[in-house]
Amino acid sequence: MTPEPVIELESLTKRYGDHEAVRGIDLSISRGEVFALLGPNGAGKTTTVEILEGYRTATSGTVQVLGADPATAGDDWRARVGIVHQETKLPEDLTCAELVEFQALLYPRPIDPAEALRLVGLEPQRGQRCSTLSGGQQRRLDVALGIIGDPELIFLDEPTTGLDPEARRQAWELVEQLIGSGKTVLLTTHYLEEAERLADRLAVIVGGRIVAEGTPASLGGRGEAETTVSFRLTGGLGDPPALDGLEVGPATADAAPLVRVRTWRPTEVVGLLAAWSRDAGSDELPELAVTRRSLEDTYLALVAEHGDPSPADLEATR
Amino acid sequence: MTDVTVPHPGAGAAPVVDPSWRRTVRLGVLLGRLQLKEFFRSRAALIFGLLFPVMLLVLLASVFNETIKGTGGVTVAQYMTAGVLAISIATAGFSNLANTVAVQRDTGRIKRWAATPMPVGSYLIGLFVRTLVIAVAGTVILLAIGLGFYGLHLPDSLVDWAMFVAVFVLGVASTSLLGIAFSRLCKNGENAPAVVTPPFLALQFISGTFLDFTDLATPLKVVASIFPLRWMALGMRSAFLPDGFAAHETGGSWQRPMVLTVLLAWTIGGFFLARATFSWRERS
Repeated sequence: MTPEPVIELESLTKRYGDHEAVRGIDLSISRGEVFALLGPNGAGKTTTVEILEGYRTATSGTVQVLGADPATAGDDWRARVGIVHQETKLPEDLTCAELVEFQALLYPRPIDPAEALRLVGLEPQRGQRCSTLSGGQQRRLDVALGIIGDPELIFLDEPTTGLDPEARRQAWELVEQLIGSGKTVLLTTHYLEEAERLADRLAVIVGGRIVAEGTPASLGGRGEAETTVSFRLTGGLGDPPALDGLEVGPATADAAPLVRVRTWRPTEVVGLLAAWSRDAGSDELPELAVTRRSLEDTYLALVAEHGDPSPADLEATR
Repeated sequence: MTDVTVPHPGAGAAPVVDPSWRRTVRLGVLLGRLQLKEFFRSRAALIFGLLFPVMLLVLLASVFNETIKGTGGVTVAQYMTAGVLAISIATAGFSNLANTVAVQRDTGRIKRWAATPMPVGSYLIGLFVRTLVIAVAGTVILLAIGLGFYGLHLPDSLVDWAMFVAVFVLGVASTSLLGIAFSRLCKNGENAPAVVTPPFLALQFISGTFLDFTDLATPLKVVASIFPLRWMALGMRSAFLPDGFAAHETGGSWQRPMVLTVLLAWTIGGFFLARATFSWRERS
């Protein structure tokens, strides 16, 4: 079965005066998929998402979200879409229950408000005013408001920005619960760890273009990228075998020299090293590790290759 | 995830939004109620949106409590009470809504609502419900104080009552619409009071509310006559002060047709101004 596309973009562009914020984006997201959009600030990420949400109009290209053009779609369409806003402030003097209950009235087939608060873990705070909620609790209330209409498609805009690690972990668990219910999710995030944990597929936008697209494991050729096999060359092992890409580091006062083999065939290298090690009388190579570029390394390499972001932008991705 | 067969929640049974005006009105009334809860819980909103005119009246009317010469015993306090009734309505409409809409736009609440299946009509009805309740509350408080302490008399004829109701309704309508339009001049929610209050306060002092309109310099009278507040205050005086006081007014009469015409004109003009400046979904 070919999954039906929920979001389809073809040659999308968006121009503000002389500035071309989006320069031809193609994207297809299937039902039930969790798709993450990554990119430095000013890369066109927010513009793209706001076009998909119906807040902005495209300059050219085709935009289809749930079978309609968001710029002209009506209330029936909006009833099927949930947006978890990041930049909005909650009204200070209303309680969680009052906000969620009113929001539920707007939709034709809402989730029970009490159930929505339970889902986001705000049941104990239901009677509390928003001004008394912690940052993490406010974000969870944002999620409750975004999903109260039981949407098919959810836009999650930087759901954990500004949260402490504990609150972030809780937010991830919440998102994973939503995903489990078969919803399509478009996530924008600055955090690679977040994309890696939550997304089935992701795309990196730099300079208004998608510069890489794939699964977290394959992004930017990461799946086939050069791998490093390393171990410590302790005294009893003797000289290492002659392998392409092998380097022996210097010995230090507290550690034997580190041997690194950079290779495209890591399995073969590990096999050869294992045989050599057994011949040298050692069943275990000390500190043996097989490492691939991290998603963050891949991402930063992509950004550096395709754009010229300011140091602040790179900082924001950490 | 991609190889999991996902049920089609929308297939065949996509929810349909009831497009009737009844839903629009119902949601608007409920939104108005929600905003009124906020209003009455916020000390700042309550003071500046409702109690400030009352406090001004109590302060000023207590200091200046003599009779106005040659008017058959009408007191300054009675004159001020009628004027503050007009101010209270304009505060509920103009000042409240200019601030509220600016804050709701700035904090993203309008954006948030616009992304739901809530019709824009519900939002606007919500604003009017909010204004109407605050204006009624202000009027009731001021009438109670005026009747209790400042010798104010309720309208004594059907025409006076009709005038009071007409000025109230047209006053709420015109000042609300102008408030919605004026909010456009506020760059953000925080500076809104600084943009809204100074011109509004200046207008209060030249519109015959605290100061006798006939004592003002002609240029000030001309400026004040452009805006609704001067006519609302005059209309309120015509309803609450003895008919003999008309001789004391500019032109020696209540100018009731003029009062109603100006307020109606501002209601219609305000509608078009609000429509031109307010945007529900700011598409760019």
